Amino acid sequence: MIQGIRRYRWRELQLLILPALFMLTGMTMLILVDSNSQKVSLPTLDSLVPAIGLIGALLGMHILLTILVPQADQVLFPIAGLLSALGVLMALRLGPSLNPPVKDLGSKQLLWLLLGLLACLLTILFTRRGLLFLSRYKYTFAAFGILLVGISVVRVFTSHINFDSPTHDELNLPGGIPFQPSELLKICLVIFFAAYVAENREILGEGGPRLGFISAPPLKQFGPLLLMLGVAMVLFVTLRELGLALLIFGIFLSMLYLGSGRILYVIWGVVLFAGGALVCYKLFTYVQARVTVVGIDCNSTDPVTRQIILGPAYQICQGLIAIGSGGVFGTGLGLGSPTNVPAVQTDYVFAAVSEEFGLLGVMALLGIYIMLIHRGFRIAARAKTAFNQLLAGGLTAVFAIQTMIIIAGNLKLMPLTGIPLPFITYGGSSLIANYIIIGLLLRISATEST
Amino acid sequence: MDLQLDQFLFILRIVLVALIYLFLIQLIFVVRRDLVRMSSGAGTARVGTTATKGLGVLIVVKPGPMPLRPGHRIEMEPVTTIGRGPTNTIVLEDSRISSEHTKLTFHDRQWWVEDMGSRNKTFLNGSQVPTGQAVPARPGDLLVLGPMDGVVTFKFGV
Repeated sequence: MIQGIRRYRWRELQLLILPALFMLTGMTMLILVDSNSQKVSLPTLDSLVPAIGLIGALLGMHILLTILVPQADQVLFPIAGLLSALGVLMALRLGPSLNPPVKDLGSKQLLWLLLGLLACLLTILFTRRGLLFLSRYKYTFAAFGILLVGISVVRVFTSHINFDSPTHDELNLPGGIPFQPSELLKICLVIFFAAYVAENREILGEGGPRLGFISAPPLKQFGPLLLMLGVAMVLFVTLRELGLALLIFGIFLSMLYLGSGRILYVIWGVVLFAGGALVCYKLFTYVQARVTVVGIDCNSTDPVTRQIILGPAYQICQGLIAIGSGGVFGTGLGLGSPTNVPAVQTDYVFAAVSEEFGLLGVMALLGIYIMLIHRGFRIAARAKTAFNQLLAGGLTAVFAIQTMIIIAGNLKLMPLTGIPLPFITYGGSSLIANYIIIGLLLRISATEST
Repeated sequence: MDLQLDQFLFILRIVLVALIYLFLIQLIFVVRRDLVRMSSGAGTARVGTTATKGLGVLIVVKPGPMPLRPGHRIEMEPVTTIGRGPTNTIVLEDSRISSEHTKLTFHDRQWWVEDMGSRNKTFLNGSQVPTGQAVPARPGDLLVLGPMDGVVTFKFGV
């Protein structure tokens, strides 16, 4: 029947052509830059593995999606594909020039990408009977998420880490694989919030006891949400991951707004957050240090300030220098020197991209992130049930807020926090978590059209 | 003329950024096409576009947590079931709605409302609909599903 041909995801295939070309061009460029400029020799076979592997992975995923969810949104995956291609390219480019060099950073990132795609497929398979069961187990998800992070909290308190130093919630899985439980916590919390807000949407929308012109949220329905949020915030304040606290709070507020349509909740939330931030600022010296760094002028010649620039502000100033030396057109992939920035492959990958692709490239990149977010909210708007709508909206908000926080941090607009740039930052757990989100969004968009 | 390596790299540099822009333009075209198709009305009306049988409609009065709009008209079938379960004619996904909540049947030129043993009951014009016993309903009657304050409210219409 014609139905069979029509159901083939032609548009997705069309949209995957450019990411594949992008990968090939980038790879060619890297090989040429690497080879001695006197004579260009043909690359070895295994140096081609990342490019061929990535294109193969994208195509394979495309075929599997055609079989599993033919009705799902066709634009989402190519966007994620291009961003991941850029991620693999950056890992390939940065790995060998890091100090100490990590030769196989690119292939590691590719491996993580493959695992991410696998996670995406598993998510799609697990939810083939609909997403409603996720909302039934909302407290299970919440408990699971808290448990995951609880393990790192216990580790922090048992291992006598200096109380004022920022620690990362990193666990070492057996086999020495680092794993960040907070990445999974994000998804668990979005599921919980979505289920809870969907159930109590009407009551949340009505507002509670009034105090003059300010209407407070109804306490009974609000209690569990605030409790969850409080637990999450406490976990992160003890873990020193303030960026994650900000991310979780942002997700919470956007979902509350999506569910109730009341801007008052957002205003209340921002006020609460400002209060909390002030308390943190007063209590923890490392928060103060991070805020002072934002106010630093990197060109200053004042000896005291220079001390800070070479000390705590070194990373952020180097990042700004990297972004600045890229200019409008960029130095070209592999031709800049972004590895002067400490931790460039994780926290400062945005600075590396803007050095080598320039303002033009970064603008296009931001455009692509906007399209990703637009697509996510479109899926949310077209979803049939309140839970699916809120889930899609919340998951999209995760991408949006993360991108905003880390880019603002890189540009010295706000204190830097170790939040990964979706799909581009080197790192396994964030890539896997992002692809789980893509899987959920694809599933939501597939149920919408049946 | 022989191409120098740095000239070639320069070309590649431009191509690389151009590719991102081309991808962005392609995306915008796809999204634009989607928006045009949506505004021409293809994807908007999902419920109620089936062939009009002329038996009557349910008009959404208070949508509750459902993504329904007040004033939305849902065409009824001779046997219309409402509930949380996926086999119902009208599926309302809310924990306060039972999986088989209410059944509406059309016979003897009249609509009959029957509660299917739901946990939070069905109300017709404010009075509880008995379980397993059909009550007649006229156009203009208010059908409330859920606890006393109601989750969803429909109005019978023609």
